[in-house]
Amino acid sequence: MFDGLIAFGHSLAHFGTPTVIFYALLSSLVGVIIGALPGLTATMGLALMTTLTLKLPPDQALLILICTYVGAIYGGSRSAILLNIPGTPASAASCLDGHALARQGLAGRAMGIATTGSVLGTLIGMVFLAGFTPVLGNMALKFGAYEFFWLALFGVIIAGTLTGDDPLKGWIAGIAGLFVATIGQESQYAYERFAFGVRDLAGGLQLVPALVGAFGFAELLTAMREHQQPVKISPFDTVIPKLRDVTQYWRTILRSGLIGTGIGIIPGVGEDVAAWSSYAAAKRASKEKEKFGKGSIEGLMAAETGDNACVPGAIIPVLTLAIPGSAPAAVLMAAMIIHGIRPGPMIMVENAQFVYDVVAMMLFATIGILIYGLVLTRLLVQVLRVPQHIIVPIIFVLCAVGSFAIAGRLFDVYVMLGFGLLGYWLRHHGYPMAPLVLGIVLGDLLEKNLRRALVLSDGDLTPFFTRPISAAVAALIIGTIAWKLLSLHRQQRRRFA
Amino acid sequence: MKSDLRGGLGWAAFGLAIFVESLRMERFTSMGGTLYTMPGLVPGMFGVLLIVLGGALAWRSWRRLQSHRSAGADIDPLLNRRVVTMLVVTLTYAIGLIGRVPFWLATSVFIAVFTYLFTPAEASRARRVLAALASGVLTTVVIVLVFEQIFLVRLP
Repeated sequence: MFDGLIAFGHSLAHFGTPTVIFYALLSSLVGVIIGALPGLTATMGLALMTTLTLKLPPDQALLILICTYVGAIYGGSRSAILLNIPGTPASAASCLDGHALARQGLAGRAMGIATTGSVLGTLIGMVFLAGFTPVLGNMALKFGAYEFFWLALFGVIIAGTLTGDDPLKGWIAGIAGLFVATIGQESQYAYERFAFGVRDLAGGLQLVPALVGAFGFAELLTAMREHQQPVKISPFDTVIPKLRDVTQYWRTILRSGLIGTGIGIIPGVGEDVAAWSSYAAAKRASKEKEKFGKGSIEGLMAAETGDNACVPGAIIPVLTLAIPGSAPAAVLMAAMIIHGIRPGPMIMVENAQFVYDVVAMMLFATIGILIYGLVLTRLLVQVLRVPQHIIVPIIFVLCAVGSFAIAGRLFDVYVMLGFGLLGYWLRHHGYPMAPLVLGIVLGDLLEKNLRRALVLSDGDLTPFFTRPISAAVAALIIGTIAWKLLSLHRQQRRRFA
Repeated sequence: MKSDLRGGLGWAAFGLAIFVESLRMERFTSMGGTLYTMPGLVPGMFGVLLIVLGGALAWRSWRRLQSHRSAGADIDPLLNRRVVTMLVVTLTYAIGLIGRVPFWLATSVFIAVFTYLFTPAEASRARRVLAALASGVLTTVVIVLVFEQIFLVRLP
């Protein structure tokens, strides 16, 4: 306990320099802007910022990415409240009550509630990040190849099940992502798979250009599909939250913080599910159920606390298991690996200080969003007025330059384009993107551990189902699939009845 | 739902192609390789899964089409004029210009053309041209400065 506090103190002292504080504030601002602009998501923001921070020292680069991540998830609430358009998928739940409040002339109060919820949610998640990561890290030391195989598969399956409307399409996207990870030389014999003599393919597809394409270029194509409607921003009152809103809804805040963090820890789920789950739980427990959807302070508080609490939650499995809790966390994990940090069970043994560094980064991000939420709101909402035809080409240039910057080769720009087109097609046909990303990120882990486990057991599949943790995760996967198939079957029967 | 039928069949065909290619991969038996170490094992499994899932998607949409109840619920066309215009401009920039002409020139031209094409037609032609040129030049200057001078990232 005290060791952790001392380590956290060291981290705060280490980051307390003017340069680092400047980076933290700037990247939180960038995150808020990315989140506020409809069509641009946290995942895309992180992918672009990863390429921009390649040459920075690892601690500064990751600070920038974490501040961008927290800022983007928070920033989505601006457009949700003022325009009734979620800036990021995580803010969709905030539209319901946030915009209803704005229509009642209470947009300022709604933004104050969103700021309060986001700050408190991040802080609750941060406490769990600091307290739970060492515990989970120690537990993870007992995991073997069997367990890691199941966990990787669990991440992809659960993302496929929960992040879209159709689990079948989610699973297809996840398996497609896993397949993409097999392209290039495999680890055992350095055998080139699916390279077809193309030298650049033999080294495998770089993760970041693929993600920049799937999230950046694809999102731009989707955003530009329709004419941008003229932006009408609701006028708003003071954004300073009332203390009464916090004291009155402290149970909701705590519950949503716990739900958000818990959902973050589950591999592959993410902030949007956290927001909706917190919202649903708040509605069930509320004494004012009838206000939900019509401008409920409690509903907005729950959604905003839940999605931001999910951010630190999603980083917990990244650090301890090398399995991301959400799509943006997958990009963050990729960035850690690029910067030479090895997330996984050994992190508490090899680099325990880094865990507390991440907690400190989270605190800087929280301070950033608090400042922007309370002080710069009027200025920041002007960003919503910037027309698409100005923003989109700039972001496309960043996508191209960022992809090139990873290895200095044009091939990565083409990879970005390819994944952009694929991502656009997938989105258009209702395939969720999170499982695809999880698949690409977790493919290597899944394959290595599956082959290692099969070699260890000489092809015997029994240990996959008899080791306690393995059996539990396997049961969860089978249970998830069975539950989803059953509910789909019922839906279908009702449809045909 | 027709798009799901086509999509499902496409995924199944893609899975089959992966499976066949995986079977054709070297097995390294002369080096002591076993079934579990062969490079094609895992991609082959993914291929089979794609065949199964793609087949399930196709079968489900076929059943829905048979019921005639959701035949009208198909999605909008994939491409419209705006998307095609954007694809032409972005692909020309990324494939045709980057790496072949100086970055600052390629980027200025790209941003200016893009901005001009997508600026609502209500504004006068001269104003649109001026705004597009200003946007192209200013943005390029900022991008070059930020990437090369602040973040020390190499530009194409």
